[in-house]
Amino acid sequence: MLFPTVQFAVFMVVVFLGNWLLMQHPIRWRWFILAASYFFYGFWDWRFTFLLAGVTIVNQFAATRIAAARTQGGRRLVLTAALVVSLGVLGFFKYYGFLVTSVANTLNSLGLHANLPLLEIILPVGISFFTFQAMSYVIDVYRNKLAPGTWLDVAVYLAFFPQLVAGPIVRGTEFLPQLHPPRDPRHLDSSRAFYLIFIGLAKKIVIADFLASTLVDPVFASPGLHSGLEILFAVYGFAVQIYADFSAYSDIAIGIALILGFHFPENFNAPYTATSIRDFWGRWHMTLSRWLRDYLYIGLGGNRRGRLLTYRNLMLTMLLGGLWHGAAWKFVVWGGLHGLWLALERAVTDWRRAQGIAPLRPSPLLHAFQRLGTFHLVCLAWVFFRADSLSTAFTMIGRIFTTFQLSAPILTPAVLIAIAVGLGAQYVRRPSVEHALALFSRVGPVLQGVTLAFTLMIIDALGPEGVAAFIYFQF
Amino acid sequence: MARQRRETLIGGRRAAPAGYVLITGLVALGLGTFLNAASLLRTAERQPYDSPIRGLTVGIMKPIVDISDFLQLDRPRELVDMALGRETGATTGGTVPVTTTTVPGEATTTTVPGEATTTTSPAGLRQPTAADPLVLYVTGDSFVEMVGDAFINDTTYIDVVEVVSEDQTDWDFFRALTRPDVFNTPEFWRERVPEVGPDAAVVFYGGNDGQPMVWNGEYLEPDTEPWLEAYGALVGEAMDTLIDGGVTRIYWMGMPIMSSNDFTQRVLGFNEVYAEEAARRPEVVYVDVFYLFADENGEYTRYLQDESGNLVNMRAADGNHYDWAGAYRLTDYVLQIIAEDWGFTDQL
Repeated sequence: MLFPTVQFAVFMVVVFLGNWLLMQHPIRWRWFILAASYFFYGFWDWRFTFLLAGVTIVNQFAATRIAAARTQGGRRLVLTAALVVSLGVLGFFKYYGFLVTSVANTLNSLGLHANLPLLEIILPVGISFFTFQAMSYVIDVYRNKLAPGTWLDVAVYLAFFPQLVAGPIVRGTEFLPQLHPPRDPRHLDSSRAFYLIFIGLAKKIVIADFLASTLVDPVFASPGLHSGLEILFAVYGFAVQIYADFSAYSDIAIGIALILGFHFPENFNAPYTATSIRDFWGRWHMTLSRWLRDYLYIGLGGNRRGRLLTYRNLMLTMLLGGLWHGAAWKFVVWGGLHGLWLALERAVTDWRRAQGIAPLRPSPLLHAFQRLGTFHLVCLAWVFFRADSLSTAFTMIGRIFTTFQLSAPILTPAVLIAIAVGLGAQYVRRPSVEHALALFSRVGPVLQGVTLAFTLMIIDALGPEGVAAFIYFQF
Repeated sequence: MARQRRETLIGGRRAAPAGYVLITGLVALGLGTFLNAASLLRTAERQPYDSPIRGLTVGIMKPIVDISDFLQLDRPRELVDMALGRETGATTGGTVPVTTTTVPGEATTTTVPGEATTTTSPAGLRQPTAADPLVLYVTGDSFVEMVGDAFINDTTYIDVVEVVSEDQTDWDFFRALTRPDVFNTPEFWRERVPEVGPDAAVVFYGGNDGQPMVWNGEYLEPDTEPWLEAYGALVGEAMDTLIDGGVTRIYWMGMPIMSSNDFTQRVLGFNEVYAEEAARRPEVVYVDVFYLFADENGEYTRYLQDESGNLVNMRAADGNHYDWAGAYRLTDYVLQIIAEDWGFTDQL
């Protein structure tokens, strides 16, 4: 069930009513939300619900065993087993074909022909998100940051439909405490919730889908037919498209959770205003960045074991972060580029510090230069992320420089406006938005509804017919 | 009861009780439904005929469209659509009258498991040159996505071929010959084909065709004999539309083996229809690719070897549509047939 559909709107009205009517009955409320979440997930393919239930059972069993274990060795053993199962499930569904074909093709290039078993596996929607949430829960219990929840609470946490299929990746430490005590139906931050839902719809339908169909898809499909200028703008267009698409899902998920009484962490914070790659990862898919930092980078030793190992850890973290996005070498290259840049940034900072060179004095010009540079480094990596293969990515980068001409018929005014709005909106200051929301929150519910209805009409009119799936579902 | 005090939250925002939020949501959805009634009806009508959701939503939306029109609540949307240069209004509905021209042909068909097969017609086609290239038109449904682009890319360096198709104009994911109420392909071709003036067309249909249709007032279930007969008439009409538009050779693509047994059985029925209709028209070549995407045992597989001997995934995530490797495998195969027909194999 996609968010921007009539089915979901009807589903949401029913869930909203049930959520608040049952709020004073915690057990009934939990069963209701659990059933609604499994219904939401089963709408794609009912078989996937067994996988979700299986991941829940294994990880909750592990969490209770870890809490009950008397020795550190026993705790570590259970944790390892739980991680092996979670990563095994993820690996089987997501990476089996990639691994087998990679091995077979490597052997083939060595003149060895292996007949390895290939299976027809359907990738369950959102598997990367709920397995990562489950792993963070068990690790937090192991690290004594969290006591194991009840079976029902953990089942609700892992299945909670707003963030189930495409994030944000909400940790047990953030979600489980919100289940106690019941949320208060008298004080909902509804103006912010409606803002997030409607801005999400606009970003998805008006910006992301429009740029995909009119610029990004045609150019990435046939780069040989487009000039360097068109390719360059298609890359900018993709940067805006993926931001608008993914942040839209996060916005809607956070908004929906908010009107159900839950606070989710922010997932995006104007990422294209970043002044460095490190800054970018503090603003882009923030819940994944934090996950990778806390459970992988720090697990590898972080920055505590010397410079070289710090650079290695950055590189490994980003390579695995790239692979998390999909089973293909292009994602590994994308992650590798980010890892390389993060390591280089760190190396330059370390070197300057060692040389006693003072940091550059902040100035608007310096910030503009840093933002421009960071944005283009991010865009360079996006080429690998979006292109259908590594060779296409290299072709596109080459053509930007070798076939640069001012003729660019695909760059219509509407396309340029969409890119400009997508980038420019990130510079809108928060107080302006907050002021508008404060005004909106002061009007009566009917007038709010009328305003939203007309907003919905404009979004629907501006968007293409039909709704494309969110990009991050496939991850 | 005293009026509830609305708590002030961060940034000066006032909190609202759940009842207020429900009113806001219902007004937004309710009024939004009336404001966008025509658009919602179009969306509802696009559902397959046998979908219970279609019957329900169309049944709900039709009176809402009438009420919206009566109350003039559809005017703001019409104004916005007009300002954006969009067409407004509900769909045409119904089925298209079919005129089938049957021309006895001399085609032959051979099908060998494990190999792709073709139905060939006698040639006698003009020799394309760089100055007067073969104008090739690629068109169809969701199975053209990626394949259409692969055609464009593969022919970029072939001087004697010019592909004139465009994504989302000449192919789109939602098209079906059995649903002219959603997109009327023959009607579209009657306008589009004279514009682009193709010598040859490569046509893909079948991806969305397996749904119930209303034919001469009768509701037909897919995979039944009457449905296949009606489908044959639609396919024949589509072929004739292209021929009448001046296309001298049509390459009508068959469907490949599919991931599920049910879908595979269905496309085998489709392929028979395509082959039969092609055999009736000397201008039409039926290109059978059923086994082009099967393993050495004639079974479905997602992975096949490419030219370098590497195993690559040929299908999209759903296991049926083509991924890039599949699209290029198919395109290379069809281009070989076209090149043999038109005498430019030296350019491949």
